[in-house]
Amino acid sequence: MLLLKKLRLQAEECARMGGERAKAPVMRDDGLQLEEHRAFQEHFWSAQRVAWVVFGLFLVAAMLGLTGAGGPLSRSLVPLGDGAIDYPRIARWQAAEQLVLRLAPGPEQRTLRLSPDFTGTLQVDSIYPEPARSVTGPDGTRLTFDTVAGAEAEVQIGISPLQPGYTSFAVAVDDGTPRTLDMFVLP
Amino acid sequence: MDSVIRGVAVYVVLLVVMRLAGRRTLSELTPFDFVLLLIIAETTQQALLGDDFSIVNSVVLIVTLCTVDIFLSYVKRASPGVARLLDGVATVLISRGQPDERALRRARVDLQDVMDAARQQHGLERLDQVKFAVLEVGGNISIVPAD
Repeated sequence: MLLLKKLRLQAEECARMGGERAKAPVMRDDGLQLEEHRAFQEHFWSAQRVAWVVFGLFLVAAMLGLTGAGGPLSRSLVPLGDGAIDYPRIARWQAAEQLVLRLAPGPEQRTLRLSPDFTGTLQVDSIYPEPARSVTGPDGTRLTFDTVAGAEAEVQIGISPLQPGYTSFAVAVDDGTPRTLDMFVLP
Repeated sequence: MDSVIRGVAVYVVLLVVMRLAGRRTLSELTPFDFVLLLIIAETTQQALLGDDFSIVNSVVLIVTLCTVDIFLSYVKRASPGVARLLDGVATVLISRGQPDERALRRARVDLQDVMDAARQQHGLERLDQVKFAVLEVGGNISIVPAD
């Protein structure tokens, strides 16, 4: 009881000291003592309706692949040498993605060259088939694969982006011209 | 550092989405709303923790979330405008027995919900026994019965 009395006295003291903060809500015409802020609420209701449309557009964008992880716009197929590389144009931070390199029939040994940016921004989780040789130098990494001469070949590289944001790296096949690939990693 | 950024980002996203989704979404929990709440919590947990299940990470996240919450409580106290924006305001749905059709429609509340609250709070039987009905900031409907 003493504690309750003390707390009540403290509350009354706070109310006296608080001045305007302790001001009671205004009385409405209908007799209800409540600050309704109807104008603010009307604006907020309108903002909510706009936000729901934005939610819908966001879902459409996600279905199209603009938020990564599947969807027609999330991946890109870029011609590379005598083949093509299928890679995630929009990826997610620390999420598993895959680069797929498809090569036209060629010699027994094929080399994939990756710029230093590649290993700097992407973690390589897996490479299939395993390269026969891997050499890392100042100009990047060279992966050499044994393939069946005269047959098409496919190389799959599992990657996970290490940092969110824009990144780009260059890839080349054999002695071909390097091709810069752009990737946007969502947080 | 990542944990703090993750914590703040998830807090802000949840605050904005839940606020814009509207009071009706999670205010009066139906069994399915409860399941939805659990799914949202599970999804959020994964975004917060990432691959790091260490105790340090969870401690950093808990402290981050609590600190942001305390900080916002002071901001709301200092600025009534921010408080209105973040917490919302009460809406009078029935005034002196007269339903405000526009407020009911815009707040996505129907008279069934009002009568539900009237029955539960005061055991009222008819709508004309309700003098005031207010959709409170917390999402519940409070009823003042007619004299």
